[in-house]
Amino acid sequence: MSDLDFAEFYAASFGPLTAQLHAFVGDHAEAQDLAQEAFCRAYARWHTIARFDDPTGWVRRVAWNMAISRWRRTVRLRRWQRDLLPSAQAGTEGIDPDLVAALAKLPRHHRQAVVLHYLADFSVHEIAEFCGVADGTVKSWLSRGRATLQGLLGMDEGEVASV
Amino acid sequence: MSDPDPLVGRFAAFREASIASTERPRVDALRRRVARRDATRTLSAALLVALVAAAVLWFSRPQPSAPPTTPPRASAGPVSAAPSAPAPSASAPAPSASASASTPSAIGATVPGGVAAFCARRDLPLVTNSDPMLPEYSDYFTHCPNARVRVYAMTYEWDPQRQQYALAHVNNAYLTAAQPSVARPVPTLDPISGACGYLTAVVVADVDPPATLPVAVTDAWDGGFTYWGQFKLGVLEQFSTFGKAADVASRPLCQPQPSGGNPTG
Repeated sequence: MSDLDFAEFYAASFGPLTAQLHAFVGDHAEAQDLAQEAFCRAYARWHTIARFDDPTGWVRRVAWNMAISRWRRTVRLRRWQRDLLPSAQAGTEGIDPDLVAALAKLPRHHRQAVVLHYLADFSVHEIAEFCGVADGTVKSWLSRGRATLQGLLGMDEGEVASV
Repeated sequence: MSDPDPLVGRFAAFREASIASTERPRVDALRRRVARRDATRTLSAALLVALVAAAVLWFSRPQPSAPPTTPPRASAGPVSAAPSAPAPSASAPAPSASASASTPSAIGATVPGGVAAFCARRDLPLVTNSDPMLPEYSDYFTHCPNARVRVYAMTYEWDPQRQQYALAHVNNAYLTAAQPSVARPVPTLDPISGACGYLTAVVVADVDPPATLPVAVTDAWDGGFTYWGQFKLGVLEQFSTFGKAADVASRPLCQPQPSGGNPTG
């Protein structure tokens, strides 16, 4: 594939990937940085990645790995920032601040499962493969994550569909 | 049938809003970023290689001589009853042996002048074995494998006619790494020499040792070490049983004998 192919791939994948990372890390700018870094790495190896069946899967994997790694390093700082600056995301135009805040309160695995399910359109099995766990574990994460979100967002229990 | 999931709509709205607010850098920017990173990586690698090369050069440079932290040998060991007077190594003659200055050795870092200076030494610390009859230079030849050291092993015995000690036996040989010892002559333990004392010594020298030991030597406090120094002889080991000349001469067996007469015990 050529630079042109990469440009098409990049244009199609950058936004959705950034949205997933945004929901996971809770910070739009950081999500963009992560996505950009992942695509830089993809560009440097594009002659190889282009031959993959799913180049997006490679970029997604790299981006999520970086996000989880960064999240681990900065989890304490994030808690402090969240307590100190609860409305840090308020300035992001058009983005549901309640949803971002509710996601930030989910445990990491629950949040990852919920984000992959709703924003990457992954099935339970795909999430299980992505995270390297059993399907049942993912079902549990999703169930608990959705229940927590429902409570935090003030939704009726009946409104949430079963997995 | 389950109720529609309200979270689906919420997340769909979130995705649209997030994508809409995302500022995607141009591919050119990405390419420049990758190029900058590659250049930085290349430069870092080059710097690292240069640093490693500099370090290798620094550590492999010829080491300047440093003051000794410990002498190579503290003493000659229990070689006879030789006095502990300083050996005349400082004034030792230029060695006839060829010293190997390129011998890899820790000596070079601990002895002023390095290996070459160490190999030029001709003094007691070089003797390592405990057998006074077979002085060896084990450590010396380990560090100076090409060296050849000419030594004299000699015995001075009382000469009743001259009333002094005279050279009775002498062996000279070259010590080498292959043959690092020399046999010392056994004194003639006749009644005269046995009663009047004798001296054995192994010295490093390029000239023959003197034929006699003057009275002043036997009377000297240091048993002759200063005397050897006058001849620039490096004393490797020495053993003497003589006393002061007047005392020896007063002994019945050590008094002057008639010309041609045989001493008797």
